[in-house]
Amino acid sequence: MTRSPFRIIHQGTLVVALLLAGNALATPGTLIRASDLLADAYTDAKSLASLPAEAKLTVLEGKGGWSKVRTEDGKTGWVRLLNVRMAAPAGSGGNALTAIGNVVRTGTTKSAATTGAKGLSREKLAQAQPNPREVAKLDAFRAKPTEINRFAAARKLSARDIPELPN
Amino acid sequence: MKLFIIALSSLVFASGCTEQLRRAGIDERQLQAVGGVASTLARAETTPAEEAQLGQAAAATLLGTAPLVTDREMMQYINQLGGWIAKQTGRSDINWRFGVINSSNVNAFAAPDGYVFVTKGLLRELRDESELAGVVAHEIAHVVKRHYVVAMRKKDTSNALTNLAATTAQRNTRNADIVAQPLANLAQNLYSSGLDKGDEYEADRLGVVYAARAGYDPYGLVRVIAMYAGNSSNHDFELLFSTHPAPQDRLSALDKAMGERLDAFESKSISDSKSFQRMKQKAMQLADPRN
Repeated sequence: MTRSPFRIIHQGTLVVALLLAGNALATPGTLIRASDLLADAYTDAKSLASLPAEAKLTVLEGKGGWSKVRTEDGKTGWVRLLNVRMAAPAGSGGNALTAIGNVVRTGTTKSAATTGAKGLSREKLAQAQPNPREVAKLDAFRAKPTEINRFAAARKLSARDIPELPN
Repeated sequence: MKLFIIALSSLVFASGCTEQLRRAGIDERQLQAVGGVASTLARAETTPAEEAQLGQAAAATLLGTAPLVTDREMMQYINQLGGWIAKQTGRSDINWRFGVINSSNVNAFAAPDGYVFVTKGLLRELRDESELAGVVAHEIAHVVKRHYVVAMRKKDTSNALTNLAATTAQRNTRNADIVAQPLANLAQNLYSSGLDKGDEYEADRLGVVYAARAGYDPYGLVRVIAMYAGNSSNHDFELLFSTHPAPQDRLSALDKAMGERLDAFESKSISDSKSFQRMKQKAMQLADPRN
């Protein structure tokens, strides 16, 4: 069996994990300015409701500059992504269900969190010896201009002239 | 006089610290008069050769914590994607090199002289190629704006860069070992504490623009930062959160800078590719290195 993102399941939280899995992306949020709740993810889509600033929402998914949300009274539709702020963390102690939800979503097991200096953490940075041999490997993978152009063409990416944003 | 110059030069070398000379009553003008050696030490700029050494040391520090993935296709993919976005900066003079680090921690890094890294853990969390493009573009902006070079100079309390300048100016490769450890310490310090918040906000604004110039959905980076906001209690995001402004603040800053400026490009943008989804699958299945 390949390593699945749901390794946590065998730790006895099968039922909770499965219940949350379908809802893993649902994140609480707040509308920061009054917006229409639209039927689809484009500006001219039909308005389903006018939502006031500070309205509490559940963010279900994202698409381009849009977020699909559910309102407190159960309506589902689209608002601009930057009109929503995800809710602040529910206390540093953490909500057990949120924590499990995060584990389900990221595939991190508890063991990874308790073994200390693993991966690219502050502790590991303090202990690690420089590894110049790995750095040297990068040169062999540098992309040639023809490869870069083929990459762009395969995706129909074309360069656009866009000015920098103001500060 | 000649003897004095030689004596002062040696003193500068021995102490590696122009500040001590100033405190001893020797002013900037006198210092510069000491000639080539002293002016190398006192100047405000870092040469390309020094930046290459800084970048090498910084990248070696990062890869000392976790190695690159060994999957060739993944490495080629990130270099082609990164190369295409870097092309939109107009900086073909930079030695762009991209890598995926085999760590479950969610993060991305840049180093001087064109190094850009994303972690396997980040690839697992991203939903489409435009999100990866946004993150890579943010790191590319750090390189273009030389944020790490400037920050390393600022944090250089042990005079690692001063000594580097001296050894580079002398083309003295035998002294390279003397500067290696202080440079590694400097890089370690910087990656643990992070850049100035202003640098991060600037990289966000530029990252959005570079990715959009490359033809990607301009909101890819914004969606990634919103995803960070939803993971505030996740252990794998710890270093990322402690070295960056709060996701909410980054979103507010981008909201202000972007307004509706890029909305016209949205419908003509590319969001995803089959290759990205394949790389994500590979990242999901890839085990952490044993050490």
